[in-house]
Amino acid sequence: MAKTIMTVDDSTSVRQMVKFTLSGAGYDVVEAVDGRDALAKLQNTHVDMMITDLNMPNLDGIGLIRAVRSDTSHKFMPIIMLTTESQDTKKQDGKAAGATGWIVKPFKPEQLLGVLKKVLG
Amino acid sequence: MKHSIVKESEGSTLVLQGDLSIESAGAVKEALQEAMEQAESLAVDLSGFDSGDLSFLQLLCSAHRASVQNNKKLSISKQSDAFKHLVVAAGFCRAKGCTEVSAENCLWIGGSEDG
Amino acid sequence: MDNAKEIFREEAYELLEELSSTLLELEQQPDDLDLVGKAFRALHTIKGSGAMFGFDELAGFVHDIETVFDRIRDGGLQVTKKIIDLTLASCDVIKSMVSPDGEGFNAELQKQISEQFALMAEEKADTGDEESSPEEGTENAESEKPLTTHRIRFRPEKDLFLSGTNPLLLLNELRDLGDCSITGQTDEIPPFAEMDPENCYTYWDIIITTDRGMAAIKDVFIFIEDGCNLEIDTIKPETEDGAESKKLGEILVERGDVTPQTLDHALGAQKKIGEVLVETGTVGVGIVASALAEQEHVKRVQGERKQFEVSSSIRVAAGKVDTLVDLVGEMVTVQARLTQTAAREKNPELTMIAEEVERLTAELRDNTMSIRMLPIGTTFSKFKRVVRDLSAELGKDVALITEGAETELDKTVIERLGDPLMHLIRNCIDHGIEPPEAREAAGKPRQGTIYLSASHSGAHVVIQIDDDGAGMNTEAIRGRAIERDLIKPDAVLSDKEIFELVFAPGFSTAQKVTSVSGRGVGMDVVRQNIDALRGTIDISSDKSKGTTVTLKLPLTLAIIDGLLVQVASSYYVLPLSIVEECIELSREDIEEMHGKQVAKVRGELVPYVCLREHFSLDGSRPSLEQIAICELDDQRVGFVVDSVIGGHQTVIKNLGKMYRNIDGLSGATILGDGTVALILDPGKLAQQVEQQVAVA
Repeated sequence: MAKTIMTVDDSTSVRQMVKFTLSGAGYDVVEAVDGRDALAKLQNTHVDMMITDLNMPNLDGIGLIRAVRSDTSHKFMPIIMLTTESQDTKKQDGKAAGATGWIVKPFKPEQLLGVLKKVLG
Repeated sequence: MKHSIVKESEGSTLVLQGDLSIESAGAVKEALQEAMEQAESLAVDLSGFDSGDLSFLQLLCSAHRASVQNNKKLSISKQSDAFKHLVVAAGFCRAKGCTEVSAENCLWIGGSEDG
Repeated sequence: MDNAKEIFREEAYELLEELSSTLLELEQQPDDLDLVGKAFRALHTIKGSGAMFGFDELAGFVHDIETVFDRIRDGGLQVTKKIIDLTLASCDVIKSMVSPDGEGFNAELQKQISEQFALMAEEKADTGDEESSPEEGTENAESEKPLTTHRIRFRPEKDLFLSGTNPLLLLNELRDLGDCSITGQTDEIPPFAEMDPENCYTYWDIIITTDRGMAAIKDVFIFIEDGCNLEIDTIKPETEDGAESKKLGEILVERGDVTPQTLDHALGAQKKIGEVLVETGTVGVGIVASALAEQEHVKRVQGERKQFEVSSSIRVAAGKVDTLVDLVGEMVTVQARLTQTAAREKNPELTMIAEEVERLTAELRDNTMSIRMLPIGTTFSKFKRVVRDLSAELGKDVALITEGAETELDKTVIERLGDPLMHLIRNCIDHGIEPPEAREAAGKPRQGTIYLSASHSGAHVVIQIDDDGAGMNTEAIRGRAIERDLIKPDAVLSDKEIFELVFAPGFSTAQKVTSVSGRGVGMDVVRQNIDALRGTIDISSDKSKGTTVTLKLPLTLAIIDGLLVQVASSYYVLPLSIVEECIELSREDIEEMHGKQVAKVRGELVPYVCLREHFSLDGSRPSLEQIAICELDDQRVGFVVDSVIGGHQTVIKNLGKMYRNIDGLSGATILGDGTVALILDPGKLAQQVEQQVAVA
């Protein structure tokens, strides 16, 4: 059974890129436009892993990660955050909130798949 | 995760099936607890084990140690290939048990890297 | 990807709109941090996505602007009218950079804005630590490092699972790096009643032997650096020189599991050290077990290393070997001269030396040549992948079976064989093997087989590519050849002659052009390649049963054993490997055949080529000539010469540009006295004469 990965980003192009890469590698992809949307979709979807941006309107990545970790259904799900090199403090916040790992933007499809293998197997 | 307990004259069998990973760790612990309380000798049937992670191995390990301490028996009667692979992946195969109590009859003795 | 670029473009336009209006609002309320955040996010997204879709220049441009807004957000900078103006101006620049044709792009303006923002961004205290993503780290570690054994103790924090980390995946990642012995330590798992099933209580002792270096190991744990206790030691390579492996006690002390004092104490007891330490409760069984595992791992790796050393090899630049071969070639030539001189001088001592040098030179030659020999297997393995990919692409099911991968061939030959072989195999899959359904209908297994084999045959290597596909359609080839004006419609041709037609330039029978064949490179190029290697190519095919292509190649291109012959005052060399015998040809013999160029050899008629006539050499034929009879494919052809001088180690020199394309000559060699002898290509010569006769 294909694993389902949720990509959370307010940028359509980043979501497209993630979706394109992951679908190509045989994963099912669910898209969410921000943290609030992601939480809503997690209520009724089984997701094996999440890739989220940190800067988003409504509910940002850090808030989203905290919310997911305190929720019982997806408490142990691997979460990868997308960061930029200028966001070292953000990265620390993300890890403290419970992110599994990170990818520095911009990234290439192979890098994304590499990280996926690392946290999802 | 699905579980059922079968009682027989020689002892009980706990059948654990499906995905036995961290999400179901709490439920697995309860199932093990219940089965161990009921029987002097407990066999765990893992032929229906599909997937799992370290949390499950830790539970089995600790449960086994507890039963040794209480002069009870706990063994794995059947195991799927997926389970064997998990044991190898976690580096749990060994020649000797990890504590004095289970030095000679540890659950993981006899597993091999090729398994 | 173009589609994705279009999506990015649209998104960027939207974001720029949003950014402009945010900036205008911000101008009114410069202290509103929400607005600053909004502007930052827009810039951030433009930069991040831009870089991902190949707008690197754009990303670079936006970077400093983003940094400035980040500073404002942190309170390090105030919103000023200048910042607002500059950012609004950048919006236009960004827009022009994103647009497909770069419309309205003003490089001067971009530069100015960039400089201004860079100035403001730089005021920011240098945070300095540039982040690297784990992949970059791995890439750096890619370079080859010496094989080293490391000891790792990996002790994750109890709440590891809560970060979504599966430690077993990390162990697997380690296993990918090299030979691993992993012991999971379970002694800290608490009693059942007290344990929290969602905690991680296990820690691991890992011994890994890898050539990827410490950095690659650390990269495995990059995401949980702060979430675990990680000790990585390099096991000192002092035991590498075959000295005895470390004692168990030493390992335990090195790991810090036991103090030296305890060890000394335990050593006092006349028992196995591990048992004593466990019994006294100093360490757990698991700890001893993992130390034992380390001992075993090191022993095993050492054993492997020793084995490796026995069959060790050194890497030498190919150029050096080429130079060596050239030098040996020169040497062979000089040696020939020495032998010749010695024979003339009739000095017994000199003759002895010359013979000695001859023997040594021959050995030196053989040894040098063998250095250049490589097993053909490396080429074979490349084809496995090609077959897999190609058959998938064409919806066919094809297996490649190879045999004789260990067959050795000159390095240059192997290198130049790659392309023609590739083409032949592609041909098999594309034209030969039928789709699975068609195969089933024809009563064949669904999976087609290509059989690639190499074997030695005298001074040659024979390579066969055999498929069990549809075979070659002689009618289709014939039709195509007529269409292409290669043969007359009424020509009567044997199957063999028809197969020959596929080597004609520009011939291709594929009904439609696929990505595989029909790229304009046909069998004619394959033949040219094989010819250049002094090899031959031969096709046989049985309709519906399959096709066999046989390549026959010389072992080496540098030095061959030749037969030196003389015609008039010129010397020629025939490759000795194909010369069967030399017989005399007298005037009477010629008269007996009524002037036909055929000789009777033990009752069998053998056609011959008179080299004197063929090369239009001066002088008249001597009364007694010699015929060197050569085996060509499956027929025998004689070459008439004035005299046969004898065997000659022939160092092949290429002909100059002007002569390179002369058919019938494959090169030249220098004789002992410095004269040049031409190396003949008997196959080509025979063909030429055949054609001349046919025309006549």
